[in-house]
Order: sequence, then C-alpha cells, then structure tokens
Amino acid sequence: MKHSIYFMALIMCIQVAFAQSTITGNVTDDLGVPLPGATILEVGTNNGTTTDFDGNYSITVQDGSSISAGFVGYETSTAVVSGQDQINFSLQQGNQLEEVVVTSLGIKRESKALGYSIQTVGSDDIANSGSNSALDALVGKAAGVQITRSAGSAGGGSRILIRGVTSMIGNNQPLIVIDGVRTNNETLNSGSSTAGTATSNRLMDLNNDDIESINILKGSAATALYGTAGAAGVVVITTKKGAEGEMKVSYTHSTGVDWLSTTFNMQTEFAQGRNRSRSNRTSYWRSPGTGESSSYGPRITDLEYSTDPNHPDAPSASDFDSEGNYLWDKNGFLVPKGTGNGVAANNYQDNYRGFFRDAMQSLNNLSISGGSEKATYKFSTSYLTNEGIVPNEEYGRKTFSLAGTLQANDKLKFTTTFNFIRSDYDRIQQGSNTSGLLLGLYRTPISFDNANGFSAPDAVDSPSAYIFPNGKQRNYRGGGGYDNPYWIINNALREETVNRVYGSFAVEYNVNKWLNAVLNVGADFTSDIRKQNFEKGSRTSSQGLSSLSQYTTYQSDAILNISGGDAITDKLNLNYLVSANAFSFQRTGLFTDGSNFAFQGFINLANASNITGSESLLRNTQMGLVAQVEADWDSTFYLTLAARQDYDSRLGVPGTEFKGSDYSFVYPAASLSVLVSELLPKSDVLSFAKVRASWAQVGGPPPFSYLTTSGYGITNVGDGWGDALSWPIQGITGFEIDSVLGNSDLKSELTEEVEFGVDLRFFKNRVGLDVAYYNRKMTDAILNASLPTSTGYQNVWLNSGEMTGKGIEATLNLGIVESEDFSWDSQVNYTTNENIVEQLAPGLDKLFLAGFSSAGSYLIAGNQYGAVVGGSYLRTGSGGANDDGLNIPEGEVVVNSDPTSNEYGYQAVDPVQRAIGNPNPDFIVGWNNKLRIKSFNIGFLLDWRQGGDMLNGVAWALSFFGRDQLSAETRVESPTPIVGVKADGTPNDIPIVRDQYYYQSSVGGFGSVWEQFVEDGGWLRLREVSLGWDIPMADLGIDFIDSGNLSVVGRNLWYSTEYNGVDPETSLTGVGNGQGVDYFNMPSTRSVMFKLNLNL
Amino acid sequence: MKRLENILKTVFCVLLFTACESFIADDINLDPNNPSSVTLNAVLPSIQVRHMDVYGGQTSRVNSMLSQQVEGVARQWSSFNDYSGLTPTRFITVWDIYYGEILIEVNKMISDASEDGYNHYAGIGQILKAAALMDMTDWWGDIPYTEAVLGIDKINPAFDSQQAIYTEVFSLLNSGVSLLSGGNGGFAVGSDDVIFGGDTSKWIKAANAIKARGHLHLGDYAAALSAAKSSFTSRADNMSYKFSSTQQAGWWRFNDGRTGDLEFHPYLREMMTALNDTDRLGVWDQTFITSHDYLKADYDQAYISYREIQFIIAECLSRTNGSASEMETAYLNGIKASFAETGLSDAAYDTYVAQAEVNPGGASLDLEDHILTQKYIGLFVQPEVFNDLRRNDFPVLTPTSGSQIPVRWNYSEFEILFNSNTPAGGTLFSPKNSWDN
Repeated sequence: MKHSIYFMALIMCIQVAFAQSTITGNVTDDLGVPLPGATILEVGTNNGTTTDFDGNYSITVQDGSSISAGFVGYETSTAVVSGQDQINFSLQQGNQLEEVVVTSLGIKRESKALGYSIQTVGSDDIANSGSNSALDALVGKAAGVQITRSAGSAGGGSRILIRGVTSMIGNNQPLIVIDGVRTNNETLNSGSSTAGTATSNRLMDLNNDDIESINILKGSAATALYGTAGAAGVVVITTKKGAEGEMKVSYTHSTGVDWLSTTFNMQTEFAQGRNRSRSNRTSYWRSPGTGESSSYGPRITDLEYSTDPNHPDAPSASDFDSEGNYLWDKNGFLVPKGTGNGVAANNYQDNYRGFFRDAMQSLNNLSISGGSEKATYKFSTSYLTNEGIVPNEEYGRKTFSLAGTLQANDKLKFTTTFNFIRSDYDRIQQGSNTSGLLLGLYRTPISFDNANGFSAPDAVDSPSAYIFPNGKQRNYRGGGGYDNPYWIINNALREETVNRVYGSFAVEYNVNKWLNAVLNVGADFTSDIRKQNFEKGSRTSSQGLSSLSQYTTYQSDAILNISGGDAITDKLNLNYLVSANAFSFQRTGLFTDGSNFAFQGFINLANASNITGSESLLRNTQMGLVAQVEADWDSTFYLTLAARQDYDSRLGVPGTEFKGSDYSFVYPAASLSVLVSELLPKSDVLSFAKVRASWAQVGGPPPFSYLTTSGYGITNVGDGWGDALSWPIQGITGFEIDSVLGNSDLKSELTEEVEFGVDLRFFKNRVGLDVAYYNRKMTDAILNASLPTSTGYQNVWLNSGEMTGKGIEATLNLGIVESEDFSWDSQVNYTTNENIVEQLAPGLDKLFLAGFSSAGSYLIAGNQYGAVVGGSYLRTGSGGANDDGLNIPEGEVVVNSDPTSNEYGYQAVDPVQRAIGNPNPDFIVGWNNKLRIKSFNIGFLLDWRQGGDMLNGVAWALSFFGRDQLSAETRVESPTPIVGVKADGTPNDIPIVRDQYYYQSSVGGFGSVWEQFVEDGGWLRLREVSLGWDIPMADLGIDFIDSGNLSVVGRNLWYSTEYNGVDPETSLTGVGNGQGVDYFNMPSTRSVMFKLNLNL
Repeated sequence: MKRLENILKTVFCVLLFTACESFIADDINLDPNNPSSVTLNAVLPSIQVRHMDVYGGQTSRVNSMLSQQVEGVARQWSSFNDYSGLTPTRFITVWDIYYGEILIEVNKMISDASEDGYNHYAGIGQILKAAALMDMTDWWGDIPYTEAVLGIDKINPAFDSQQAIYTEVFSLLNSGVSLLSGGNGGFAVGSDDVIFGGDTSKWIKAANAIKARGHLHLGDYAAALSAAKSSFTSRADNMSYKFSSTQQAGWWRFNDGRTGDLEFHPYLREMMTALNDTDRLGVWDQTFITSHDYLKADYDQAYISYREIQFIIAECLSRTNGSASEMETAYLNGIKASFAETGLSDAAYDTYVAQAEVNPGGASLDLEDHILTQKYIGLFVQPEVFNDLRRNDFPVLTPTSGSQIPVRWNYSEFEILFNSNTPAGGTLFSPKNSWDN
C-alpha cells in the first residue's frame, strides 16, 4: 500500500507530453442571446467552467479532447479541440436536460447520470429570500429538507434536517461543504438547553451574496463518499469565483424593518392578586411588595388609586419610602373603587406588546470580480447590521471574501478562497430562567407598570424604571420572581464576538484523461468570545456575575482525488475515482466566572470577589479512503459502484494498543439510472424520463468524543432548586465518578438505505416532476442508555438503538406561462418523512431528549422520533387490560371524587406519563413562484407545514398566574361539572369553577398534567413575497451602470395557525434533537426589506 | 515547480501513512478534561459536601414541609405542599445524588483506602456510608444495596430490606470506630475532611451519635441511650459543615433562586406562640429570602447535632423511666443548644425555660408535651423531624390534602422505569417503614 502511494505521487510528477491550449468563446441560445451560467466541460474529466454574465467562457484543455457546453433546458453541444483558440456554441432548446451538478467530493456530473436525488438551489433564490441566513433562505425550496428557526432573535440560528434523522442522539444536521471542504456549522450553546440565549449556527457567517449555488445531497448513496461525516446529508455550497472578462463591480444595499409577529393571547381585565381563601373565593388586590405572582385579583375597572398609608387596605409599611410615598406605582396603591382618591386604576395591558420595537436592519454588499484567461478573481465585502425587536438586542456582521483561480500552465490549476468574518451579538436571556425576558414580560400583571411611568422606548434608557435608588430591583414581585424586562435588556445581556477565518486551497493537476489529481485543503478557524452579564441584583445571580467564555474552534480538511475516464467502446464509458481524506477538529474552551460584585455598575472580573475558571478541550480526527467506478452504456444506462473506509478517533480506546480495525469500518454504495426516454420513441408530450435506484450503507460516528472510557469530574453540588456551588470549597476541589459509564466496545452507527426515483419532463420540459422514495434502517445507534441510578451511573454508552426512516419527496416544476413579456414559473416541493424508533437499549423503552420532567420529547420504542410524553388525566381503563402503559387509554376522564381533597371535582391525574403528542410534521409543502412582467419580477413562496405538535409551556405557566385569556373567561363562569365520571363510574356531577385554585392544581399550570397544553403547531405561511424592477439603465441614459434592480422583499408577512401562543416556528431547545417545546421563546418577526442592486 | 512537487508529495504521504497511527490514535480519544483517577483527598470532600448539601437542601425542605415546619405556597411547591406534586419524578435528583454521587464514591474510597491500608480514610468512609444508608432507608424503606453501584454488572439491582440495611449501618459504624481507633497507615486525614479536619476522636463520637439515632428509630432505647452517652458532649462536637458567604448553604440558595415558594408554617408559628417562644420565632419566622436571619448563606449544617443527642437522651430516659434529673438536664441542654444555634443569648433561654409550660421540673416532664415538642421545635428544618413525626405520630398534624400524612418518599421515577426490581405500588402513603408503627 505504501508503495502504491509513492507510485501515485510519482505519476503525478511525471510530465506528460500532451499539449494544452486555452479556448475562449461564448455560448448563446439559438436566437443569439447570451446564456450566462452555462456549463463548459472537458469531456471525460472534472475540468469545467461556467460562462459569465455575457455568455463568455475560457477553458484550458488538452489538445484533441472534446469540450461540451450545456445549459438547463438546452441540448448539450460538443466540439473537438484541434488547434483552434475560439469555439462558440449555439445551443438548441432541447428535450433533454443536460444539467451538470456538483456531487460528492466536488465531482461534477450530468444530473441524468445520477442514480439518486440531488437538488440545486440557485443564487437568485438565496439572494432574493429576504433573509441574511443561507439556511433560512432555503426554506420551502428543496424537497426532503426541513428547516426550523429556533427563535425570533436577531442572530438566532436555524436547524436543518435532510430526510429526517439518522442518529438517535448524535448530530442530525447535514455536513456543510463550502468549495470542496468541510466547514463549521456548529451551534454552541451557553447554559442549559432550556434557558440562556438564542444561539447562532455558524453557516450564518456566510454572506448570501457570495453563494453561487447550493446543492443538497439527500440520500446515503449521494453522500456515501463523505463517509460518516455525511450521514445526515450534505449541503454543498459553491461560492462565486469570478470569470474571465472585464472587471465587474456589483453593489447591493438593502434596508429593512422587522417587527413582532404575534404575542400570546393575554387577559386584560384582572389585576395582581388572589382569592382570599378556598372557602372565601373573593379576589383582592395585593401589592407587588407582597411578592404576589398571580393575576387572580379583582377587575382593574373595580379599582382606583389611593396614596393614604392609613387606608384600611393599604399595603405594609415596607411598601412606602421614608417620605410615605408608595414605592411600586407613582399613582399610588390600589383600593376598591369608591374608597380611594377617585382616580381609576391604569390598565398597563400594553406592558408587553409595547415593549417590542420596530427593528431596523441594513446590508451593504460590494463585490468586484473579473479575470483573464489565466486567472480570475473575486473580492467581496459586506456589512450587516440587524437590530432585534427586543430593545438592545443587536447582531452585526462584516464579511470579507477573496477568491480566485489561476491556470498556471497546461496542467496545473489553482483555486483558492479566503474569508474573514467578524460577527457581534448582544443577546437577550430567554426561556426557562428567572432572567428570561418573556417570563417577566408575560407574567407582569396589568396593574403593574414595568416602565414606571415612562413610555416604552424611554424606559429602555431610564434606570429608574427598573431599579430603585438603593440598588434593589423594581419588578412586580417586589424584587423577587423574574427580572423586570427593562432590567434584563440593560443588566443581563450576553455579548458575543466571533472572529472567523476560513478558506480553501485547491491544486488540480491534469495529466491526461485517465489521470486527474486534485488536492483540496481547507482550514476553518473560529474564535468565539462571550460575556454573560448579570448585574448585582439580577434574579439569576443576585450577587452579580460576569461569565466569560472563550471558544477557539479549528478544523482542517484535506482531500486528495485521483480520477479519470474515457470511452472504452463507442457505447461504453468508464471512469473511476480514488480519494483519500483527512479531517481534524479541535475546540478549546476557557471559562472564567467572576461573582459577588462589590458594587453595581461595573460588571467586570475586577469587581468580583469570587473568581473561578475552567477549561475544556474537544478533539477528534477522521480519515477516509474511497474508491468509485462509474459506467455508462449508450448514454442510457448509468451504474455507479462505490466504497469507503473510514477511520475515526472517537472509536479509539485510550491506553490500548493501536489496531486499525478498532477504528475503521467499510461501507458500500451502488446506484443505477436508466433514461427510459432514450428507449422510447420521441414524444411531444414526454420529453424526458428517467428511473433511478440506489442502495447504500453509511456509517455514523459516535455522537461525541471520549465515550469509550469514563473517569472523574468535578462534583456538582446542587439539587436543581437554586444555583449549584462551585469549587474550590475551602481551597479544595472535590471529584466524583462520572454519571455516564464509558464503553470500550463502541462501534460506528450504521444507516442502510434504498432509494427509488423518477424524473419526468413533459411538453419540452415545461412540466417536470421528480419523485423520490426512500427507506432507511438505522442500526447500532449509540445511546446513552439509561441505567437505574442504583447502579451508580445514570447512563451507559451502548450501540443498541434501531430506527427506521422512510419518506417521499417530490418536486414539481411548472412553466405556467412563457412569453416575451410575461412568464410564470412555479415550483412545488413536497416533503414527508417518518422516523420510527424500533428499539432502544435492553430494558430501556424511553429516552429523554429535551423539555421538562413533567413533559418532554422522548425516544420511545415503537413511536415516532421525539414523541412528546407527559402527564395526562386519569381515564377509565387506565391500568386495565387494554392499557399499553404509554398511550392515553380510550376511556372517560375520571374526576377526583374525594370531598376532602383540594382538587375535588377536578380531573384526576394519571400516575403514568403518556404519549401526548408528536412533534414531527405530517408533511411540508413549499410553493415557490416567480413571475416576470416585462421588467418587473414578482415572487412569492407559500410554506405549509401540516401537523407537528408543540408543548405550549406558555399557556401552561400563564394559566397558573391567571395571565391568559382562557383563565380570565373561566374564572367568572358559574360552577359546572367537568365532563367525565366519578371514581365509582357514575357521571360526574360535582360542579366546579375553573378559577385560581383550579389552575394552580395538578391539572393547571406547573402541574403534572400536560395533555391540555399540547397543540397543533402546523401552519400555512407566506414565507416570502417580493417585487423587483429591472431598472432600464440604457433608457435612463445611465451608461456607466450595466444593470440595476430595485426590489422589495417581505418575509413571514402572513401566517395562519391553530397554535395559541407565539408563532409555532420556534424551538426552546434550539438546534438540538428534541423539538416541539415552547416555553417563553422569543416570538417570531415579520420583515420588509428594500433592496437596490447595481452592476457596473 | 520542483519544489511544489516535493511539497505535494510530502503532503500526500503525511496524509495517508506516516501519520496514520498518530493522526487517528495517540490517545486523541482520551478525555483531557476529566481525570481517569483521583486521590482519596479529592473524593472525601466531595462526598462530605455533597451529603451535607443534599441533607440540608432538598431533604430538609421536603421533610420540614411534610412535617409542617415550612409551607409550600407558590409555583411547584404549592403542589408539593398538598402532596399532589410529589410524584416520583420529583425524587429523581435526590435518589441520583445518594447513589451516583455519594454511595459509589464512598465505596470506591473505602476500597482504595483499605487496599493501601489508609485506615482513617476507610473508617471515615464507613461512617459516612452508614449515615447515607440510614438516610436512604429512612426516606424510602427498602433500597438496593448489596447489588447496588456495580455499574453494568448489575443493571437491575435487587432491593434489600430495611432491616438488612440497618444491620449494615451498625456494622459499618462499629468497623469505622475500630479503624479510627488504630493508626492511619501513613496517610493522615487533614483539611480535606471538611467536617472534622481529621480529628478521629470527633469521628468516633459522631459514629456513636449516628448509632444512637439508629437505635432510637428501631425503638431500642437502652442501646440508643448508651450510644448517645458516648457521643457529643457539646455543640462543638456537632457533625456539621459550615457553608460560607460565597459557597452558600442549600436553604439560602433556594431562597435566592425560588423566592416565595416556601414560607414559615403557621402550624409551627402557632405552637411556638402558645409557648411564648418569641425569641426563636423572631429569628425563624421571617420571609424566606436571602436576608433571612437563620437560613443564612454561611449556615452551619449539622448532619447530627449535640442538641439532637440531648433530646435522644431525654426521650430514652423518659421511655425507660430513667433518672428524672438526668432527663431534665438533657432536655434543658437540648433547648439551650437550640437557642445558641439560633444565635440567642443564655438570658433569652433562661426566660423561656423559666415558664412552667416549658419546664415543669424533671419528674413532671411529659414525653409528648415537653420532650417531643421541644425536639420538634429545636430541630427546626432538620430532616430528622420527619423521622420523629412518623415514629411518634406526634405532633398530630392535619393533612394538607386528603386524610393522610405521607409516611415515606416515592422512589425515583427513573428507578421505577429502569430497574425491574423496583417494588410496585409504593406511594407517599404506603408502605410504612418497618420501624414506623
């Protein structure tokens, strides 16, 4: 083996006596109109280029070879190179599609040859989406792809899934490959999964204007050459590199505004307070100074102000300052109408809606490109500023990108890209934590003014809204409970600074048709520095905390491809590829916490009396060897056979002798494509038909490093009901045995997939339909199988899970109208996927993914991935013969029939947690339309997600506090029995009122029953709508500008959902595997953006 | 061009071979963030702080709520207060701490120490283990022990009876005392022992104190009395850990993060008011916030204290018709220690015990009205109060919901789910502990 490599290296170095020549020319349609973006290929090689805006190209090829020109919807034309230096192509509009797509490892292939599904999204679709994130811009534009934005925060990330999940608990997000090398798309969480701030996915660093195309490799056969790294699918992004021709300058400016889409349906009638007692259910107002959490007080219209400390209903003396002024409201405290000063109580119901702002965003983008026949270049820079709808939330990004190609000589070509990105974020705490913005915002009673008399915008910069002169926090819980929203945005910000450099360097050495070598080396370095501020007096950290995290992530990827091929006979074409790949990843983390500040106003380690630090290092390496052979017969039958062997450091057991087989695993792939239309008589109706089939196995890596052993960790001292202690304690650090047991026998996970598809085009390609069906089986999934803790461990790593996945994806392309002045193209993408967990670990039938202990997203044998399990009402039949212990028994709801119980007449609680929801959508449809009317372009994209349950934690919690509309309505109803039966089976006749005591019981907020809070999170949404106008520069007499476009893009302007709460397009746990949990997540936004594009 | 070729050649070779082994293996998968082994003095403080924290934290909160010394009034704690929210999921954390963060470590510590002959570490380990085991069996009844903390060798550990656990507790205590009575084998316990700083005589007293508590639970008053008399002789002997202003005690952290969830219980307020116990009430009956005068950041959390021992002596003497004067002395020592613990002066104590309702004189001391009442008050927010409540059915409390006071904790939800040997049918109300008549 060693020899063969030297041999290969040697071959590369042999100067072969084939002359090369550079050909230039242009590509036009049959009417002579230039075709920009047409593909020029040296036949039988990977050497290729595309035409520039004017249809010109330049390519260096072997003398005597053939070059072909292809363009979507046109017949490919081929010409033989024999000494000439210019070849022009005039393409005929064709029956057959000859698209060339970038497949695995950067190999360009004709799409008709593919035995599996690949979908391409072009630069226009990305650039005109109205989103600055490439993932968000993809929504609805590719079948088989599900993208979920985690929150409506500026700089919030998105999660992408291709064909559902392949790993039970490991990474399920696809590999991102930019210009041939693996690129970091990580989401680094700070804090627990249900609390903290929004987080970014690193692909957001990419400037959308730099993207030339995005190819989505969906199935295992398409991704097999990437090995374990591609197990979840691959997104191949190609960036613009410039083209031969004059220097082109392109400038884009956009300005937009984001605003709040919807908020939760809150009650606007009842003030802070509670019922006097269970036996005397009259409500009374309670001062914030009591710490009262609920809004089960009197109607606000029944209250008026008083400033008299001697009033019989006056709050306690501690609610007044030394001069006798009431602390919590400048107008005074509240008393029953007729007993105060006659000034009606203010209704501060706009506390929450008014808090949000219209957020501005702007993007400036400049790119300069051009080239000669020897070299091309492109430079671009962009500057994005994006405010959040929450005051003080900001996201800013600057990008610099340099790319170029150099044809050094006949054989040698260099391609290089270099990118620098600087991103800055000011983030807001959200979710389940006492400094979570929406907790305080939504729970604030209508009788309390968070802004303390200021207008909402003024309160942002007015400390007296949220802090008293003595430094205590001003909030509706008397300083306890949750932070005042104005406190959070000033005193609990997280600042993040990301500096990132990445790029690639490729050398291509083309010896002859049978030997072409490409070495592509990429590096990606990210420095992510975060500072979480908690001013002294914050609810999360009462003594103050400055928490610094510094992450440095470095990954490198090197790929060597050796390929070649040619016609063997006049019908048989063969080509081969062998490839080697090495990848390494390393992330260091340095964490410093300074707490216990001496004074307010200086959130800095220097002000902290307690400073602790820690470090972490995460690393892994992978290597792969690939061999692939492709054969095509008569341009009708295409067969591809491939195999890859992977080595992964994560399978190694430290301290044991090295054995390659301990680290490695091999898997094969095969695919077949048949152009049925070649076998049929030419038809005016059916212009193209292909059937395809593929089979592949792909390994999945261990989900994390270091799973093969376990050791000790610093002891966690806490019980979940307050902050944990941090060591050292008395100068000593204590260690305890890991709660997760390592396993030295781990091997890779395995996915086996079959895929069948058809690609049909009708009426000269005006109508196209591509359908794929796939069926997957995932085995040996690595799980942290639960152990009963009496074993001393909570989990053990095991190769034990089994899961199936199947789905259908379809893309329908319609050229509805095509004429000179008017055209309408439409694309419908349909996605459905179902992942069923077949088996977990022995003795384990349920595994927690995300959420809360009373309800969350789980893996359960026999159920859909991520099924929602939680408390439910007791029903007749529970525990009976037909009760499978998981699904809610089909029976009537049983009510609590114990007259001595506080929950008498309420629904009884099933002692068993039940499957109460499925967070996976039934199907997703994206309908993307592009219309052109003369120089106007109109686009709209409808996004329909059917089904997908959400746990509405907001409704759950707000019912407890009496802030939701439902509790406002039911608390005043006359007593009625709950529909159900009593314990003895007779119909329930116990009348109750669903009032404070009901919603604060086991069946209300913070109770153990969740089934009434599971809601359908499906939607129909106008995801994008745009109107563009090609400015007729020539007509306007502007000759120094080649072209210009003015457009307005609206995003998320309208949606319809049955979900009661914020937009269901949200996920508390961000990009993690557990989905379907909404707990005071940031609401989504709507946006409109104006955009001007000029090309010089 | 030649140079480029050489570079390329080198890159390929490095990529594929020279580096294969070091690139992929070379302990890259060895976790650099966590040690694979640690020494005894890094485990001992972990076990101690972990145990003191869970004992003075969630254990204290749940038990004093069930014993109606504190009341759950908001959020989750209001549903705990009426028992409905105290489902098995609520006991996952404490169960996990006892098995995964105390028992497995203490076993390893004892076996490592024994192997090397470091007998003082082994002895302290055995006493700590006995204390943890007694806690666990008192809260849960039957628990996994002989097959417990063995990792995947026993993935469904069998449950041992409470009687068997108690036998083991006493045997561990005896063995611990005998090891601590000998030499240290060359490795002295020092400041890593955050409870006694390596003072073996205090550990021996503590072992006897725990033994006294155990015998008392089982109703063996003579044995309890004898053990109690060989244990603590002053508050300075308390088996306790003092938290600090920066590493705060469990109650303080709870009151910081969960302000308003728990408050002082009206039942205890009424009881103390009736006895003119205004001084202690003044310190304890405050809003549960971080500035609470008793539940302080630097609270000195006792696992077992001098005052408890004095009340044990008084109770045993009362039950065995022992010396009235000894009984009175112990009874008053207990109250006095409680006052001191609360930061009150001897004068305040003198005024209090001068009342006939509090101290009618040795011969007239009533078991319930005086001794058990004063123990109930004097051990404010100590988990042991819940043991006394079940053992004596005193004080007689009104259930907050339904007709029963809980008699045990639920097993952890995860133990129920994942250990097929977990006894079925347990609730907060049954089965009773073997010593709970």
